[in-house]
Amino acid sequence: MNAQIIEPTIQTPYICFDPHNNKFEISGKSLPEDADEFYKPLIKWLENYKKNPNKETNFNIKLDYYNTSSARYINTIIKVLANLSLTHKVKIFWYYREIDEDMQLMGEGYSESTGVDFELVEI
Amino acid sequence: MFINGDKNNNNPKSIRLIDLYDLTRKDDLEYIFRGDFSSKIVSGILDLAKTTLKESSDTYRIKSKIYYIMGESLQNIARHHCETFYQSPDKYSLFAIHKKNFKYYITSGNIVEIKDIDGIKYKIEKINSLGHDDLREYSRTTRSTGALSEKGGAGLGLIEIAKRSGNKLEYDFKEINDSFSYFYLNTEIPVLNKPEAEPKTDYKYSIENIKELHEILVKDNVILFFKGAFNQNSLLNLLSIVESQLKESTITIKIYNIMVELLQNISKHADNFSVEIDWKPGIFMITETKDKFMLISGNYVKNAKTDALKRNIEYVNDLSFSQLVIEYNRILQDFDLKNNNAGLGLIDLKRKSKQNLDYSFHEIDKDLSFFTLQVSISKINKLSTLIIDATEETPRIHFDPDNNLFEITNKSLPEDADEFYRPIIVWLESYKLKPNKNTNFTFKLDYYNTSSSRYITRIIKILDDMARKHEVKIFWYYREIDEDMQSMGEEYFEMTDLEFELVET
Repeated sequence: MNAQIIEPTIQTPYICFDPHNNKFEISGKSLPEDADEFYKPLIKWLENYKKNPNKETNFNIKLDYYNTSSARYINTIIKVLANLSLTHKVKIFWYYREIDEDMQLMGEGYSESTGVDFELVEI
Repeated sequence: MFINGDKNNNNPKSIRLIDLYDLTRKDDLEYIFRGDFSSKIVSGILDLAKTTLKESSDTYRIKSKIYYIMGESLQNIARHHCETFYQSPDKYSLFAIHKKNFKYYITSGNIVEIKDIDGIKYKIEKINSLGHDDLREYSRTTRSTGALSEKGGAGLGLIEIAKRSGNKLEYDFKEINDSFSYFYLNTEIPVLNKPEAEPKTDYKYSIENIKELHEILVKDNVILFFKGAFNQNSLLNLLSIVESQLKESTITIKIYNIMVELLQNISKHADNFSVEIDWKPGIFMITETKDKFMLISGNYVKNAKTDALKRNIEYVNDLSFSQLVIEYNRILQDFDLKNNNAGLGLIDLKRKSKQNLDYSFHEIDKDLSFFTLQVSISKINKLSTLIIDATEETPRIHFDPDNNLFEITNKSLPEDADEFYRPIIVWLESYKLKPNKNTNFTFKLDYYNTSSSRYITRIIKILDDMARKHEVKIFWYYREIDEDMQSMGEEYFEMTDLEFELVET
């Protein structure tokens, strides 16, 4: 499966979905006006990856900011990973800046509700 | 003039944004920025101007002229920048650009020392006394003789502004105290070739207007005011201005997030006052006072939509904070409910600001209203003490992080335990984010009913979480004769890994 790598812009995050090197990361800012356009192909990629995944998937979410339309997709990504975790080993790392209490709260919410191995990392 | 006292205003506490809008509409004002001008902000403002100018129908030549003069004016402000002036917001500089009747006006206002006033006056009068050709010559000689000595550079900037605008420089001073004065500089740039005999009064009116507006901005503590086209580009420019203006902190991260939601709300959902323009007009401003920031947006909505919008906001305002989280997650899961996008934005605004949303509608005509939405962010991020006095059926709560005192005492027999305990859980959840190094938590209950017991378990669970990274100790008091309370304590003690002390009284 081909790696999916997208360089960050002022309003969209860095994406690195690279199964060969076992690196999965979303980082930076996600403020697109139209989140569908940006995230739909990514969800499709992940759904494909799910059919033939690595034994172990460590997924890093390291966002500074995201808007509510991106929030839907972050949620979907976590759901896809939770689904994958039923058959394979999956761990999500949720990074937040120490001063960002909202990002911390979001992460805590996910860690309680998803059932995936979920680690909060303060940076 | 903006606060209080208008019967059309739904919320007497909110700033009368519509007045500000009216005032600026007279002038087709584009935007105003008030603050401490660093070079980073200057480039942010220029980028925003570029975005705004893009929407206008003027020729490329005019646009680049405007852009150039803006740059010079902003540098003029930045050049006068002196750290000691800027310690209080009432000394912030001002920059404004507006357009009216085929003319652009670019105005700057900044603090200067009174001893420099004569020098500035002399320079401007000299420039104003020169005709077009003389000005070109003067510009050349000033440049070549390298009169860049100390503030001589400012003189060259002024010459360039006058030369490019093709007009005299308008200026004024307003004394602040014995040592400082505001220096206003206004430049007029015609869009069309206009007749030579232009009425001077019109011109004068404009600088007076800016002075009046400046006074209002100072009075209402407005640090950023933007009126113009709302789209993704202007959003990104405004964000970069705010990012460079405010030092990164918990509060500024909130401001940033709330701006994104407010402004994307306008660019997605706002209506237009005319079918002739295809952009979304609106207003956005930030005010700053000692204890809070306020972010205010204003835009047009069709009267047919106002009731639904009102209901939406009231619905979000009625939700408690734990309900908000549940509702937020519900909408997130329910991906097909596209129309609820606005609802999700509103919920997010309340979650992040931790305050109810203020709003107002001002009916303009039979089709349209002007809608304002106001979000406050408290600067006092520290958790305040939570004290609830005991009643017949509810316990006394005393949570005081400063004095490291956490107590639940007396009895807990409320009919509706949810109502009583929810705010307490919310408080503790916030405390958990930044707890004291040591937390000693005391339960000293004589009685509690089963519905309270669920919450007591919940509280112990939160403390247990907290104990992973911090020191937490629970003191569980029971009366010697009260076997049940003793055994409850013992059960909790076994349930958690917390340091747990049973105290007989």
